[in-house]
Amino acid sequence: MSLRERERIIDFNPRYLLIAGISVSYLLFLFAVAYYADLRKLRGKSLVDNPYIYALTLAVYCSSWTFYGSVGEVTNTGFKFITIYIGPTLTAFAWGFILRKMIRISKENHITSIADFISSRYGKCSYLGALVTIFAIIGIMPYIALQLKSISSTFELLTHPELRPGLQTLAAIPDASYQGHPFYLETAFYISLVLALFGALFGARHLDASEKHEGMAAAIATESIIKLIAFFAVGLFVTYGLFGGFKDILSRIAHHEIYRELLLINTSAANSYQSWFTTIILSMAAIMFLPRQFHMAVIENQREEHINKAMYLLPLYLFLINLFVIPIAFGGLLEIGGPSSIADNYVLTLPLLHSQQSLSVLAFIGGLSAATGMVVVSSVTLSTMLLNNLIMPLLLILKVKADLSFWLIHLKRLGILLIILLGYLFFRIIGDSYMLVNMGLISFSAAIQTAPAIIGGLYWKKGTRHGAIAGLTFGFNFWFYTMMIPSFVYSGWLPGSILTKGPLGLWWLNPIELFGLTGFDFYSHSLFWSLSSNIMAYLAVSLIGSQDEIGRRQAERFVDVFKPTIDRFVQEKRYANFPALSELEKMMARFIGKRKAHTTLVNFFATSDYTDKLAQMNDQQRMQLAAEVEKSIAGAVGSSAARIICDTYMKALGSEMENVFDIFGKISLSLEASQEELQQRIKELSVLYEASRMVASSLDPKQVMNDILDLLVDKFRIDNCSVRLLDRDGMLRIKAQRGLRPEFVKNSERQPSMECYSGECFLTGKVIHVSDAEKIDKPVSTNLMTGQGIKSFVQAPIFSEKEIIGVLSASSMKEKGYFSDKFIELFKTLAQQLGVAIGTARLYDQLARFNKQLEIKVAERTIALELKSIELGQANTELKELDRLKSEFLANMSHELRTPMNSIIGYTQLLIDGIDGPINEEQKKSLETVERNATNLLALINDILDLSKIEAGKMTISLAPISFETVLDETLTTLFPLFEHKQQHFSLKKEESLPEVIGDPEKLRQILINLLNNAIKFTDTAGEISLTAEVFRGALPPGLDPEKHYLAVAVKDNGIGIKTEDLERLFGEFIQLDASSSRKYGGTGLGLSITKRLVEMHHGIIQVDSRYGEGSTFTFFLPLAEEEEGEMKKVS
Amino acid sequence: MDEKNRPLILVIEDNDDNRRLVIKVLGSRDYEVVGVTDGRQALARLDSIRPDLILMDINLPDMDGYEVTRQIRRQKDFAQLPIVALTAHAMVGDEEKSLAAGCNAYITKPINVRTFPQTIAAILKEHRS
Repeated sequence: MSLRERERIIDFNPRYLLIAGISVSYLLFLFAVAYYADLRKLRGKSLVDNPYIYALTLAVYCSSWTFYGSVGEVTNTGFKFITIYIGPTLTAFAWGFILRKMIRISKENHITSIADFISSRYGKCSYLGALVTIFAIIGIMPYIALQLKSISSTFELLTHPELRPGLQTLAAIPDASYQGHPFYLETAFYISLVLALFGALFGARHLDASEKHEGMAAAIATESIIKLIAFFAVGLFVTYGLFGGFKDILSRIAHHEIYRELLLINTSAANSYQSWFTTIILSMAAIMFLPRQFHMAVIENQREEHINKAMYLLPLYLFLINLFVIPIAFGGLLEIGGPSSIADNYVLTLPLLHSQQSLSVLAFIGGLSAATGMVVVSSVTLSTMLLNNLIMPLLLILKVKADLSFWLIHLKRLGILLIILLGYLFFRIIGDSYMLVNMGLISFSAAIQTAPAIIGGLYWKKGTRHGAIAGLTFGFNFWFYTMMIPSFVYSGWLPGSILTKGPLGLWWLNPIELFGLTGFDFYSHSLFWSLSSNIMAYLAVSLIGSQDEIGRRQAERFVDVFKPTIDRFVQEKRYANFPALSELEKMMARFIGKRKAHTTLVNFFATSDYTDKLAQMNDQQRMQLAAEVEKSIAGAVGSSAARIICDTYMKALGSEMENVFDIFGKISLSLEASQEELQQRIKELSVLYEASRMVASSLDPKQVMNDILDLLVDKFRIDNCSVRLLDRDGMLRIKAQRGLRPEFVKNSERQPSMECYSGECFLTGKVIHVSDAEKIDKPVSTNLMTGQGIKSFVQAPIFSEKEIIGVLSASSMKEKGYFSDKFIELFKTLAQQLGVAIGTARLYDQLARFNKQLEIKVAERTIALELKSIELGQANTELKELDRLKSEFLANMSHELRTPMNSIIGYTQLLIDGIDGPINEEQKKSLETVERNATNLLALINDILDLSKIEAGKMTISLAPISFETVLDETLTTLFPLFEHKQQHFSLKKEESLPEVIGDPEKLRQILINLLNNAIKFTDTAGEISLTAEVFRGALPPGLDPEKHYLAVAVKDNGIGIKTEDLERLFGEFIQLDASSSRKYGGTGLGLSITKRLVEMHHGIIQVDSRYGEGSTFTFFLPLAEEEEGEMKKVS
Repeated sequence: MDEKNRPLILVIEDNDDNRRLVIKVLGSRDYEVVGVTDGRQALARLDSIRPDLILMDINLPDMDGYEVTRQIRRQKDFAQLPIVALTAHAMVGDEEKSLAAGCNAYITKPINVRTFPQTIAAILKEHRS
């Protein structure tokens, strides 16, 4: 077997077995470390949760390309290799803000990879994720191959001493030589399998790729220590073992004819200032944006504060691991010499050359560490990207319906294996080409293409999905064209003419002098074109285009991740028909497993009993839950896939995202600010409302309703709205509306029933919100709504006091889900206030009407009263006037009658008395007749005057206790002549010392005179007349106060008497029972009438007892004075 | 009775019949009677007549009896002069009116010729004492 044939073929010589055993043991050790770390994590005592481990894991940056390649690089370009580490050191200073932000974003969004990061930032665009994934695989796969190659070749160097000291280099072996061996005989294949196994075990332990892989991190950190120790050991050996320290080596090189140039800069295009700058830039980006760096720095980060230490620990590490690069390289050149392909192995070959077996094994282990670290992390990262950003979307597009939770983890492991095997395949195919050797910087150049999209995405909200796609596409294409194509040419796969004459002879398409650009070195040229086109496209397309909802939301989430108290669920969307929680759980379980699905919900609700929580959740909380669910799935399958999964799943469950129209205007700043704005607006509304309410109290309800509707239309851009009120006939009618068609208004009139939404709202008193009018289940409403083109609507009851009087409705023809929870709250309040306003207005109206009625009534009454009053006044005046006239008339008549009567009676008496001379008897009789008639006439006049006075109430009587006896005595004195004149017998019977009576002496006298005169008048000559006065002791006749005592005075005669039938009218006016009696007896006929009234004015009564022809008895009763009562009783 | 000792009565009465009647009735007894027909004459001649008693009709032309009485009362010499209202005003309140105007007594027409001189005598007697 020739030397060439034996290369890389498994054989079983003791050395091979030893090295293989050491390698496997080392890998087992790493397994143990990883396993232990995972175990620690399970126990809650994380091994990797400290900044030192974090910094060490970041040292995965130093792959075998560093471990071996740096030394080789020095032999070509001198100190330029250091740029690869200056870049990261510079970048590290910026981690405090850039990396921290990326970490925060990734944690909050369950970001799984750099592709996921970009995809998520730009609206969870799965296309973008796929794009980055493909580019990453293209860019990284050869890099993995490079690692495999380094392991494989160093393995060969150790196991085949005959290859030493390296004159037969790997590069010297033609590529074709590999073709002869089946892959299963190659060491590299088995190395690949072991690494894949490692990656699968520790890089895909959990389904949730966003979770930390502590075991893997611990292993990577361990490897970083090992490779540092190994390199340090070799460095020390070379510098101080083989030479006399740094100064010795450097002075030797400085004096070396050829090699001294290596101490200079800008000696060639590859070592130009320009290329220094370029590689610094590239490495600055690589430390952040290489997929594995992103993974270790962002995804595996335990705590943000670890950054603070990592910021100087990583540069320190880079400094240490590069400390001996120069001595080893120069030492190698001095000891071994040869091209860089040989120099690449100085780390291993220098100890071997000096028979330092164990040191060389340590160096091998160091290299193995550097390579495996890179391969494991890269394969895990790429596998995640492949699965989440390529396979998952594909599966989802193909609508594979299986329980993916089982498959996902295995797909992921399979992915890792696939990536590593692809790397192996690359290694087999490309072999020892130019491309493979330079793959490090080529990868860096690919990685930097994601920088504009990421950095822009972190700080520039206007960066759009299309901008990112355009930038990445331009960047990668230019990268491919200006870097990969030349690499292919250099590798001999494409004709060299491309680089001299341009493809198809088009000089301006020359990949290394594109558009005639010359003067740049290879990397700078590529970087210029790829990055500038990338940035330009990103900026230009972003500025031209606009973002959709989710893009804007994600941009805000990313850029404003540090803004305090941001509610990142600014409601722009909501779910119609949110699925049951059990459905959600089932969906999650498909991707992340039952247990984790359950925990997610438990954590969200902070309780394990969440089954009935859904009903209590508002739109925003549902959005949050949906986002949580999506995030948890994103942890497993990436954000874009998770989004597709959630969307399609929700759709399948009949739940659809719908726009929530941002009714309160664009919320562009932080939500804090917008909340203030919101409150301000609400305040404004309240003020407006207060105003309209006040207006309402003095206006009619129609005005109030119109005001409110105008408010809704103006402030909320509501297409149509209406106020329905219940009429007295029990019909719900639209009383005021905006934007409704007449036929809608006409058809909407109906009795409230559960058949329609307004009716339901009215009957139940609940706010009804339908976010998608197509999905309503009330046929009556459906016709109305669809006829009107309504997409969503909300209805709130209008309360007046506690009674529902109507329904306030608003609807949108623009969007489904137009009405947000916040608006509905406000809407409810509006309806309530409307109710108050209408109630007030109605009350006012009622009051006003009632008032008016009252006023009318009062007015009517007043007029009537006034009329009556006027009438009365008139009547009164008339009466008074009449009275006055009557009095005047009576007074005048009296006066005018008395004056002549004075002369008549006076002169007659003079004649009779003979004062003017004697007259004869006959003359005297005649004159006496004149006198008598004149006197009668005068009596008549006096009676008439008395009666008039009594009638007019003008007869005044002054009642006081008086002695009746005195009055009686005086009266009888004046009457005795009359008794004597008619020779009548008068007898007086009275008790001794009669008690005093209440009376008026004048009037009593008049009573006595009248009665006695009558007795005298109607009793014949020589008749009997008697007067009896005594305190009455019998049963009082009706009409008297039984509490009082009375004096009874009876005047009795035996005269003509009165007929029984005449007794009743005896006391009437002008009564003389017989017309002839007047002539016979004289008198005016007013006497008894006046007497009766006078007695009654004394609060007494008068009775008559008479028998016709036998005589009459008149009895009157007078009340006794009260103080006399006691004495009177003594007497009795 | 001595001519000079007869009381002098001034009758103020516009009705001739009634004035003459009073003069006749009183003149036929122990009274010296002077009659005037109105208040002005009475006032004008009061100082020269210097009556012991005045019979005053109320319903007089130009100046009624009340006013004449008040004017007489204003003269110091006649402040105590007995003035008797002799009137056909026999309605309620008429007596009070007369007394308020300054009359000492009130007699309604028609007079009783037989008792009238005694009544006057009683008033004069009452006044002197």
